Amino acid sequence: MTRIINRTLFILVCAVLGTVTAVAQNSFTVDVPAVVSSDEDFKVVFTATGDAQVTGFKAPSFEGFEVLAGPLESSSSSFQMVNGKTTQSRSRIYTYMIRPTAVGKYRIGQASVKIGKETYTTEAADVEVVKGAAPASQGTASRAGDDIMLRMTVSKTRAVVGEPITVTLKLYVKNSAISGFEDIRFPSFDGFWSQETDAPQNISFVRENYDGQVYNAALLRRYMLLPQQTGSMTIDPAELVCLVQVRSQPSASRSIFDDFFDTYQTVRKRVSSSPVRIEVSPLPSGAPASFTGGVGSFRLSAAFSSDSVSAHEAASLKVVISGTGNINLITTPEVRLPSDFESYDVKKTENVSAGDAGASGSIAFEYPFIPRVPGEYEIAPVEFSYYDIASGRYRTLSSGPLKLKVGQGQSTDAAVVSSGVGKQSVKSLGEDIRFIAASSSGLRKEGRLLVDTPAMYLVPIVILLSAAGVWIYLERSAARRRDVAGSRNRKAMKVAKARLRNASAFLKQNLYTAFYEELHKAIEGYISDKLMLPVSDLSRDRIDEELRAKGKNETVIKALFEVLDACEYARYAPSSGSDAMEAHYRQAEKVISDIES
Amino acid sequence: MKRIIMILGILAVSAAWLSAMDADSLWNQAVRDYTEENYQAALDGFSALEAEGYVSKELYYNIGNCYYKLGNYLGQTILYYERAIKQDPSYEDARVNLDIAREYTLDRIDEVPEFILLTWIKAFRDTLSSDAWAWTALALLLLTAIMVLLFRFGGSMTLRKTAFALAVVSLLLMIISTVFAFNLRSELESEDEAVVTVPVSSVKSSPGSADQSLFILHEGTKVSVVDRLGEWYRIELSDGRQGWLETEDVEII
Repeated sequence: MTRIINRTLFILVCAVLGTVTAVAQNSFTVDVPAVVSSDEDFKVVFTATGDAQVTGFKAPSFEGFEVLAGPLESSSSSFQMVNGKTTQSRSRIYTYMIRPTAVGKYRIGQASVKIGKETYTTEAADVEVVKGAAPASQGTASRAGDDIMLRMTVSKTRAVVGEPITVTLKLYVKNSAISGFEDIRFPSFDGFWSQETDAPQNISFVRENYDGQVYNAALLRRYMLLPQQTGSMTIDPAELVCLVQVRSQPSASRSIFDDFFDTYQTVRKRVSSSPVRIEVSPLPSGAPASFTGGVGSFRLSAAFSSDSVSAHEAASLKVVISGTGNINLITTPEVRLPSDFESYDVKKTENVSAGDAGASGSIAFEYPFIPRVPGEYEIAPVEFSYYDIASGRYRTLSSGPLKLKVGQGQSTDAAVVSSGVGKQSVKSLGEDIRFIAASSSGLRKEGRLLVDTPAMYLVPIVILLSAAGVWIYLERSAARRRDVAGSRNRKAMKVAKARLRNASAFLKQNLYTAFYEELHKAIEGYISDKLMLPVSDLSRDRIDEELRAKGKNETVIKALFEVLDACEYARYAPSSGSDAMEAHYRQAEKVISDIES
Repeated sequence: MKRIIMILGILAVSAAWLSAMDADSLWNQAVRDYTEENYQAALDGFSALEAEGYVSKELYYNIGNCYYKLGNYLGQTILYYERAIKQDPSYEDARVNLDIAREYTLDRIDEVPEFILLTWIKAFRDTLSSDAWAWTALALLLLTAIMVLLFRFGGSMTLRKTAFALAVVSLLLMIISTVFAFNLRSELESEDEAVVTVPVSSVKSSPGSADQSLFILHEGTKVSVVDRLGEWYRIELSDGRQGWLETEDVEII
């Protein structure tokens, strides 16, 4: 008991010193253990600190407790001079020793005090009274460190992928005095994305009720886990070695000093938590297209930095996602800015704090861009989907259509000097397969190819046969034509002679017109047969040309034309006598024989 | 027995009704479904047409597109694009989509480069279908015959010289067209190419599932079928490696 009082004094001095450093701040606080055992006496300490006189302390009602002693008052004051500035602080401490009367939860009411002229009250404090032995003084444990345990608690053992789980690692001590730790091994959390949310630098013990017993508990670490894999996952145990102070057993050679100065020895005690199993189930199927793994409860807002901007002026679209869940793992939502906008890297600003239900806060995505072409743009709504744990289904948030008016701006680009429209190549925005053929024109039942049909052989045969037929026909008709011409040629002299004979008969009868007509026919017919030209084609020029081509000389042609002239003349002119007719007959005979030769 | 006959009768009638039903309306419905992104319905429509015995490059192309849009049918997608290209080797839409679909295949096989002249000749050949080449050949034959006749019976020397030259040229072209027509026919009717339609297929050293695996092919890879024996195909890759594959792992183009 003496040592407890010693310790108490020490704590009091420390508390006083602590209050001295926290000057110029009036406060009134109460210090009560959260858990006590039913047969334990404990202290309730009210501390009033301020720069004025502390008066008028009103004690609370200690219902459910028996007040053993108190209020014991003590006070202290301090002066401080810093750079010639003097500050004074007083503190007054009221201490009660009380003892619980029964097991249960009790509340110690508010106490009030006046510091200067102002009244301060403490907050009501809850005390849990459990049955059992009070943490006894050190050294009474049968074996050192048996009353130490390491507990790992998880907020839930069933979760879906991405659902935040809080893991708390606490050290519970009943009696042993721990002077330090060694060889601390925290779990590796395989299959989880983990984040330390609480890692106190100084380990402080708080009384806690565990399993109906009072323990001093200290928070070592708190983590937020986001499951990344499905299945039954095991969190490895955490391990550490506690350095426990154990009072030396009294020895035979015990001196009087030994009684006064306790001797301690350090014992190493390894403690480990039990492994924790977590069932991780996959997210249900049917996730929306904009789902990127967000699990929790979120809100979405999106807005342009300004509703209307000028072309070539920087602007940005800000998308804010706020809420609780695995907000750290949210990826940048897809925003389809028009291709005429020059867009830049997305800036991500996180304002996230870790809590029991996972991280909460907001993430802002800023999409900077510079519109290059004036006009009114409507950007497709920004969509964000997440899995709502509470309702167990996917939710899709949409920002609604985003409108932006881009006014005519002044191009600040000095390099652009050309007037007119700046040409740009058509940019490919994405790749997709081409659209289906919409026309059913090519649709047909499976049929044979042309090369497989008899037509492929019949048609060429028909072509070749008809070509051969045409050949033979043309060949024959050509032969016939050749024959006709030859016979005409050959018979020309004969026909001409017969005609001339007729003409000579007319000459003898002195039938002037008939003679010349017959003579004309004879010559014309002869020429026609000889040159193989129809009579209608016989012009003077043509005859002249054809005869020359046949190599007849000038005089013969001239004589021919003279006879023809004479015949034509005689048709319309009166008779010129039988002598002329005789002469013309002879000339005609001569011309024909000349041409024949 | 009566019942069976009745059922058979009903079946026959319904089959007749289906074929009588306008193929065009089925086609148009499928195109509408595709446009409304109802790809499964569109695929069912086009597949019904295929089952009816309809054949066209557009039909195969559309089925390929449906499979592509449905996802997870890489082998079928590539198979139907290949079928469309087999129908018309110069079908550009199918070639473009096939290139896109091939991006997703896992196997990269180095192809032995073809002799450039052969590539050019093939490209020229593929500009027309077998039927078109056949018609061209017939027309050229007619032209040759006319030119021969003109050469023989032509009036003037110039006409006859021109006719002779044209006759020689059209005769040559006719021979080429005929060769192309038959060549395309044999390619169309050949069954020596196949596409792997299962995600993973292992190629064995001999026809037998317990034999040594030579290499593994993934969905969408095109192989040439060299030989077949029971349930096994002897296949060759475009880089020259050979092995045996189960017939159910691949589908002939």
